[in-house]
Amino acid sequence: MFKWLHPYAKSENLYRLSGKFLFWFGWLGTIGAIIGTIWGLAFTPADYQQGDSFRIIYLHVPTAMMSMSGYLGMAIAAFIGTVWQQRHADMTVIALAPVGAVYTFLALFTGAVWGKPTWGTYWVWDARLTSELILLFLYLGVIALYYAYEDKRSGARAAAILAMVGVINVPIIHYSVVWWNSLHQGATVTVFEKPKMDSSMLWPLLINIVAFGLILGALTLMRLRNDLLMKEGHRPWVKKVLEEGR
Amino acid sequence: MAFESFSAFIQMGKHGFYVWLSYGVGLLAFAAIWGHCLFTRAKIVAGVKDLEARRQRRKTTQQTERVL
Repeated sequence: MFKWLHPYAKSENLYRLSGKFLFWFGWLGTIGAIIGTIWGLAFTPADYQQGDSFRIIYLHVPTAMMSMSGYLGMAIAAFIGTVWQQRHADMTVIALAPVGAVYTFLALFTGAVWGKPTWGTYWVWDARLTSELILLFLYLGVIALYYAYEDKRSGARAAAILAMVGVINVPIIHYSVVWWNSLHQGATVTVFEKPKMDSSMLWPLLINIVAFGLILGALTLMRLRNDLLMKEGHRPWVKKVLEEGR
Repeated sequence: MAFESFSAFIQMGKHGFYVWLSYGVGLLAFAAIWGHCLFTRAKIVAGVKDLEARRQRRKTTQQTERVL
């Protein structure tokens, strides 16, 4: 059933395929983020209660959503690496972790900066904020565990186990605003319900969510390709692809 | 356009500091991680070329020694 997938276990094929994806993810993501951000910053009407500070949403919500999606992706890669001993899956885990950490940091930072004019405080220890902070520590823990081992295969195993265990935190973040009383508002955009936002404000947000997802993918692929080149630098295929300028 | 002038756009209705701080740090973070990816790649590519050059040098030295 998955035979068509087997050729991509070869590093050269994976490198070339990820190069093609990188091109599209990188360009579409960058163009989308530029359009969505400029639209959100300059062309949407101000919020009737929050005024112009609400424009932080166009950075805050996409980074926060993608920090969680990224973690799920990382945990799936960790599972594949652990169960099927796929070393490229292990490499994907460590390629994604720092990118996800940057997204989580940005979600927390923009949230704090948005909280000051809106709630009157940068930080409260409530469920949503704390669980997102734990997500940052999980990402950092995965990175630290991976690099703590001299033998990278052992490091990848340990990091993968932490990544899989930590996945329990993702639904906790998602439902934290439902389960507990929180200063943080509930979800504005959900898949099945009508969004609680006017379409003039919603479109740039949706564009940015997709664009930031693509950028997350692009940065991960860049890191994965670097890792492939570094681990296999002595092999003939590396010389070949570099001469082709890919 | 939601703003009447460029200075109104910069001021963001008294919230300029918060909005521009968020987007400034955001831009910086993405520039940093992207720059790090490019820098790492350049370093690895240079390393691979070094290795290849050394291989070539060894080959030529061996050949010269054989001739001598």
